[in-house]
Amino acid sequence: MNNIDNVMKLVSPAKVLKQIAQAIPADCRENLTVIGSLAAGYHFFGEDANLMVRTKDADCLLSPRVRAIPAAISITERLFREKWQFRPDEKWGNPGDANTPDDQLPAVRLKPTANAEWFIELLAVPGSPSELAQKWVRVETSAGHFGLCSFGFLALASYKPITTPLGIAIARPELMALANLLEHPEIRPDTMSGIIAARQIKRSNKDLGRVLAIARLSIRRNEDALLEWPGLWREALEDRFPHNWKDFARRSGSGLRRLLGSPNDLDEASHTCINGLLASNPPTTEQLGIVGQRLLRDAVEAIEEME
Amino acid sequence: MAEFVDSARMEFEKGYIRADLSFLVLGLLIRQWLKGEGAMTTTWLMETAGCSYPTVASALRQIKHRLIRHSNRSMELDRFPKEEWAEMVAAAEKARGTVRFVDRSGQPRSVDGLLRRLQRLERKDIAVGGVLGAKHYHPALDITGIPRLDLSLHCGRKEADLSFVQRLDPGLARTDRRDEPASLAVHLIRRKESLFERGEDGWLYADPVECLLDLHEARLESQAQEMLEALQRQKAKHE
Repeated sequence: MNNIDNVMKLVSPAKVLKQIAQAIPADCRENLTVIGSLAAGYHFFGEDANLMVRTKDADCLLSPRVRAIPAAISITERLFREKWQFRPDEKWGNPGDANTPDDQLPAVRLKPTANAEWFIELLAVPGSPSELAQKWVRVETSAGHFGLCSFGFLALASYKPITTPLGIAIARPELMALANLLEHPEIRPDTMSGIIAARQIKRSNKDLGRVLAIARLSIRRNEDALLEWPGLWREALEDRFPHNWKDFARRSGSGLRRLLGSPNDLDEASHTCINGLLASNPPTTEQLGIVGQRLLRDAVEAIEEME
Repeated sequence: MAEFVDSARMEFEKGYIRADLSFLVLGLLIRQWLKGEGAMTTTWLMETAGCSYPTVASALRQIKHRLIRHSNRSMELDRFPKEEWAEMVAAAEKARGTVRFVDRSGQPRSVDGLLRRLQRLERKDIAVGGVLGAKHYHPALDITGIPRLDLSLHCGRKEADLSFVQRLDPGLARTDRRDEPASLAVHLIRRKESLFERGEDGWLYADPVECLLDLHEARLESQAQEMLEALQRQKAKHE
């Protein structure tokens, strides 16, 4: 049994998604795409309420940008009315107010009950293809002021999302993988705020580890799944970054190669996988490295060479 | 000129032991017989095997009791040389150079998955052998499923470049252990001409002798026997 800290909890993707779907105002559902491990967990483990993934948050991406802020306000107001609660942390004990600078605003992090083991966090797609840096936009609600975060390649995760029978959409795993690959062209030293199963993990390793987990789960469904990724990757890149998609395509494998070339970083990535999406069937670190090599051969090299 | 060519062949033979070169020559004689392609000359054998005259002559002396020599100096086997074939099968492990690969990913790629990636490589020096090759020559082969992929790599005298295996699947790792079930076996074709043949399905196939040896190497003895008998029947039918 793994030594799991109290940050990442085992939750049922189906149950959480159902709860979110029921709580979100109907007219905002088409603007919301669930991303991250919950979306991947739901995609791969289906609607089986007994299958769990280890996570602490349900990242909800709002798009298009023009609808993101009104939708964020509407969702936040509605959830507070439904007795959802602000989830405080060490930095933010309460929502902000009119005097709080934009970049000091707390994110919209709300949990359904005081003891809930997960919370939702609202995010927005960037305002333009060139807006890659993290940016906070103010969301004013009757409960206080919040920040809606957008960054980098989130726009890819909202491309052609998969509509679930629950009425809300989840991001396509292969596009979440691409977003993570592009977000981490190198292994940066900054670490996750929380610990994962008793270890401090670099964010790059956690996110690139997620890529490997998605790839492995995809292969388990269809051994040739990765061969189909470059086509969708190109489609999404061209749509979201029409002027510089080739540049992004060419550098998509940079961080992954660095991860695979660094035993310590790969070990961290493996640690997040076996305590996350791959917990039910954990691979060895060597096996996870092979997944990475397969991903390079089947998908990354193909997109890198596209003209 | 002839001297130059033969010195090139002798260069080719460097590093080989005589038995291995005889293996090449005998394999060609059997191939020609099984395929019913008739008599061949010593020159053809030298050029196809990439061996010098003394080597070919030596190999032919070992099997002279099975040879029919024609007036035009060509020759062919009079019948299938069972004893010599048994010796070839016994010596194949050492003489052929087979490299086995096992899956280390925990998610083994299927034979079809490996073939799809081989197709993308568009290599003319790699042919399909083993069970799939045997089925090319004898479609009714009695076997369910394909236990592993057998490929023949034509490398001649050059050092075998096995880097393509990583293109087929980075999860494959070389093993020398016979007790590990291989997902892929690569057999090195050392003669000068590959004698691969293009099937109607577009794949390149190793010659039938290689496929038979692949089956033996994979311990598929009954299938090897079945294929051999089928090829002999086909030959008799065409005569």
